[in-house]
Amino acid sequence: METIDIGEGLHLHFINTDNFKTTAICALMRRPLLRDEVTVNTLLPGILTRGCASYPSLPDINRALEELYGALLNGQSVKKGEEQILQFYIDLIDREELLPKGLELLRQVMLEPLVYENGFDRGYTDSEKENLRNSITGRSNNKKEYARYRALEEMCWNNGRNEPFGLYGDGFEEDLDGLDNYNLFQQYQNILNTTSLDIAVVGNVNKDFLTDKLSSLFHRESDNQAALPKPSGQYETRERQQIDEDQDLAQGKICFGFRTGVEPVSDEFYKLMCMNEILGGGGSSRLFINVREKENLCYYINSFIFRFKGIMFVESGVEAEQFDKAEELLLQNIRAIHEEGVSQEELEGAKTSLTKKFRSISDHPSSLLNFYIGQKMLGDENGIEEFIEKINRTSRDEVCDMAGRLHLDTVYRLK
Amino acid sequence: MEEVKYSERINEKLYIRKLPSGLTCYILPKKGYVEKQAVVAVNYGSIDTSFTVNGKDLRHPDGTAHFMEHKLFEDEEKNIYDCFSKQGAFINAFTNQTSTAYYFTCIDNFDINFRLLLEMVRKPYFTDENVAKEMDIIDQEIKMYKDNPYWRAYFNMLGRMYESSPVGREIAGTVESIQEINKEILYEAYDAFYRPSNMAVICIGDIEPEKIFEMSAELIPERETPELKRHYGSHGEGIEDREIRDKMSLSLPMYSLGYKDRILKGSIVDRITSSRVLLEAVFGDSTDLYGTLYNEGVIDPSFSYEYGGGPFYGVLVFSGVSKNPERFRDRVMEETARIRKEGLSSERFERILKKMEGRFIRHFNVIDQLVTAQVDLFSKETDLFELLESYLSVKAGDCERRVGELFQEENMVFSVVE
Repeated sequence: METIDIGEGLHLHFINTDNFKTTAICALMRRPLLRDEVTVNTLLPGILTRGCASYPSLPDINRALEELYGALLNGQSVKKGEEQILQFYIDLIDREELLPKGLELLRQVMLEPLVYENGFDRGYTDSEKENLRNSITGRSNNKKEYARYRALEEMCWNNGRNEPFGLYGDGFEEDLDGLDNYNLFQQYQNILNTTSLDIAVVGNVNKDFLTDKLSSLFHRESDNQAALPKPSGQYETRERQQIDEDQDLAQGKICFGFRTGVEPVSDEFYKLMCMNEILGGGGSSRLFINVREKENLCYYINSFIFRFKGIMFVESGVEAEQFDKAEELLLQNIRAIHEEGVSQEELEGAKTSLTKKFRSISDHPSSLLNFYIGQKMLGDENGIEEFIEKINRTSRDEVCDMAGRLHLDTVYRLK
Repeated sequence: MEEVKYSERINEKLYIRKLPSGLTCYILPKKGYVEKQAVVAVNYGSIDTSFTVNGKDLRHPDGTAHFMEHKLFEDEEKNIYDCFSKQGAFINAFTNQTSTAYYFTCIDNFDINFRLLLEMVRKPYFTDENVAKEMDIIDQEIKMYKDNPYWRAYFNMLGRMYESSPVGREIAGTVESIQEINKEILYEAYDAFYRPSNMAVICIGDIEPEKIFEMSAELIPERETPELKRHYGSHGEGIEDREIRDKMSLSLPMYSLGYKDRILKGSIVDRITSSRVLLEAVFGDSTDLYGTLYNEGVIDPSFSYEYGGGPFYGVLVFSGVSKNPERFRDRVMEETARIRKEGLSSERFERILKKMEGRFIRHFNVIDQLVTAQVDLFSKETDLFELLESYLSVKAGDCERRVGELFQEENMVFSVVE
């Protein structure tokens, strides 16, 4: 990915490829994830994509998209590490005449909202507030996701822990009553004035054309990007805490949050990835084989890493009576890696699987965007190939050591 | 039979060949892609529980096809997951109403993985012990679906539409029905359905078609094809009870509003494309109806619709979360009555076709979407390019006719989970 500073506070991140049938464009406004701002930032993309000055309603916008051969447009806020990103995305079929029209539509939605007397449209604001309220109160409809978010909330935010990573990325119901079309519009003006604009593009596009077009469409007066937090794996050691919640489920959910202390941009990170892969990465991982296949304890069990925070997470669906046994088996499997080590074969398997995972990123425009935006946020210069090379340098001893660094912080159990 | 199809709109080629064994191969080479995917599709799904094979009538428990899918991963000597993962491949499988599919994705060692996949499907290994062991895992899987309100709303609806047909029952069966499955039943089903003439190989990626044809011919040898007749019971009947409610203590109700398609003439593919175009044209996000319902909060971003079907059934369904599902139902009935009277505007219809075309082209970015689509199309004896042709040839009149055929109140089921 090539980064081009087009002007004050306007950056283009560009991958030129003719692999795809489409051109994907993603405009990002990066904000720190803050308790006071999170609900506002969640609402804004929703309100903006309901209608703009020249396309005042959803059907109006969608008719314009249909004319562009069913272009996709969406606006949402995304939690990534301890940042909250307002993200506007448009995806166009690769035909020359569609690009300028698509970019113009994107600009209008982002920068020329429907405004009455210094406020957004009141109906849209209320309706988006209502939608958000419903989605917040409906969180527990998806049990797996609900359990994961609750575990992270307990691990990082509740009881005075106050790490923003534990905040729900879609905000809080109690904030909604205090927000209206006027103060939300004010907040958006404030965001526009204190946030630079990053535009990432993947597709078969002429670079000069693109930079010219973006610089005229998205020109900004100055660059006042609000300070963003530095991602870090640092943590405070605590006793294991256990949270139990009852929801009358047919199948219980159990989550485990481990601290590793591994910094997101460090050589250790690649070792952690290998260890995680061996422990719970997929169908040949220790957890899958020992807990699902040998003990028939659960339908799913897997582990993954929250890179920006150095957290390793394990989640599983098991009968509630088996919660203790699941924990025992998990810890036993971690101990086994730490004390008895892993075989060369296992490590090679993990490396092969990770290599595949990272190499396949280049087949998907959205994965490419995701990967490189993440790298930009972390200030990590490595591309996909360097990434893979570093993974493949990991030794068996390093995997063992890594398993010894897991500190179980939170066990969350939902039944 | 052999064919190479080329579509200028998509700029892709599809190679189709039926081998002497009866196995059909579909190959779509994708230059520039690093991932490759191969699937073995079997024309055998959850609805195939009752059949006659070589004169013998058989009735299998619900969930047998899905159970088999789990058990084919069993091998006498080796751990199949390990074999694939050593080759850098990711293997998985799925079962739906009409198909079972086994697939892997990989970057390197395609040939080795392809061989492994075909051998796995060719060599069943069922024992009393490994069958008994699988019960617990599938039991957990069934329970997991029970906690999913979308799933419940949908299958409750389907159950009412197809009361005496396996279409109306869950793909994995029930906690009770799977208890009846044993190794004899699995072998019986395997022998009946896992025949080359009832199977396809589909490969997409940077692949050489000729090589796939050769390997497939070698690895899936001819097998005598039994005389197989599937029975689906009665399925065209009217619906007795058209409303169903279930309780899950949700914050907002979730609904599946469905119409049972009882006019099943013409090809399945044309039935599907005309219904989907009609759904976009009448309920899509560019309609005034959509705008109004969205503004009223009757629908929200969870709103979706789909038409799907098989040889003897068809279901059109709307689903989502709503504070007022009854209002949604009533508006659907009003709007379809209006369209029946006034028809569709041709300007609107042209725009929808543009959208469908763009969407179809976009699909060709994603290998696994294409593979999954082709698995389904194989069970309908057709392919991706015919599907596109069918979309492009939909006429406004077809859609208007379908509105009349589909939206009959007596064919509607309203399912709510609260």
